[in-house]
Amino acid sequence: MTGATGGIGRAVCEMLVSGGAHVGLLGRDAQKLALLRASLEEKCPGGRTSVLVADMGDAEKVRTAIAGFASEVGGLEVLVNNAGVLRDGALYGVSFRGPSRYPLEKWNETLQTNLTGAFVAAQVAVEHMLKKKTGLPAESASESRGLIINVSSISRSGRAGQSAYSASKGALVSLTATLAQELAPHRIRCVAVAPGLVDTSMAAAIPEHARKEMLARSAVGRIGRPEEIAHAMRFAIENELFNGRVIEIDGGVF
Amino acid sequence: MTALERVAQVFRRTFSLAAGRKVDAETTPDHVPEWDSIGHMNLVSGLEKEFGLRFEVDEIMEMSSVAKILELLAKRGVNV
Repeated sequence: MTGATGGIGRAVCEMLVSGGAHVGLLGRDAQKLALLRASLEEKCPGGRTSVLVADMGDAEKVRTAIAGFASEVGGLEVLVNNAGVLRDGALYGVSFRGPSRYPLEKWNETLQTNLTGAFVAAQVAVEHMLKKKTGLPAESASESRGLIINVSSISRSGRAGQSAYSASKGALVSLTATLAQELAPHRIRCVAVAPGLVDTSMAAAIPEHARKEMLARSAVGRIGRPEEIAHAMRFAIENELFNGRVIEIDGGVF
Repeated sequence: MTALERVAQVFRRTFSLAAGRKVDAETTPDHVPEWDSIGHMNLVSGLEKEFGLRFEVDEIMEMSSVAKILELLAKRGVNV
């Protein structure tokens, strides 16, 4: 679980650990990861977790962390690419402050964490998923080797002021469809979940007027709960027909 | 409705301001935290729709207060 200490990450980890999975909690802040682990142990006595410290911007560390976890637990069944950063700003802003350019550093950071990090994690995860022996005839589809869940966003189709974030989240959907086709012969699925506004620290950083505007377009008219996103992931994990597609869980935003 | 009232209405719509929130000629981005660089473009778009105008880039950069906006509107022939 990358981005394990974020709001959605925590809820998904709790769902997975309480369901009996051994979960690798991957994040860049060792202290936050230790606190998450302690919290999960308290909520799910006997639950199994491992702490994996890596920044998604550091491909080598991500590879090492995931490979180490797979070796530790004897395989890998589900990868959740949840790590993400949000760095808002206009591509070329024209305001009372004068003209401003969106910094290339922010673009690179966002793409590196949200997209390249997911690609790298998927690559190493697949390597370990392929080691699983299904023992089934080739025509049988009843047992899978693994599942990759990419966390996209309601912003995947474009949103003013979010060029980097939207581009990364849109690209994750394309990556999902591509991997679903590439990996189907190996009985590995790849799906995406696209949340709307969810009650997390990332959403709290969005300006109030933008939050209100997003909620005004939602049929449900309220902010989502991290547990509701975890529930969508449970569906993706349990339903083996679901592949290559996106679960849009945004309360019906039009 | 005066030009100031129409501008204030655009502010309330753009930034989802509460009905009682004061918007007058002295209002600047310091008084409206939602008035950031992205908010500014939404504000400009709202003003263009309200007054049926298209602003030039240098005009957009001059809009650093409601007073400045009214000044620009006057230059464009709006009765303020």
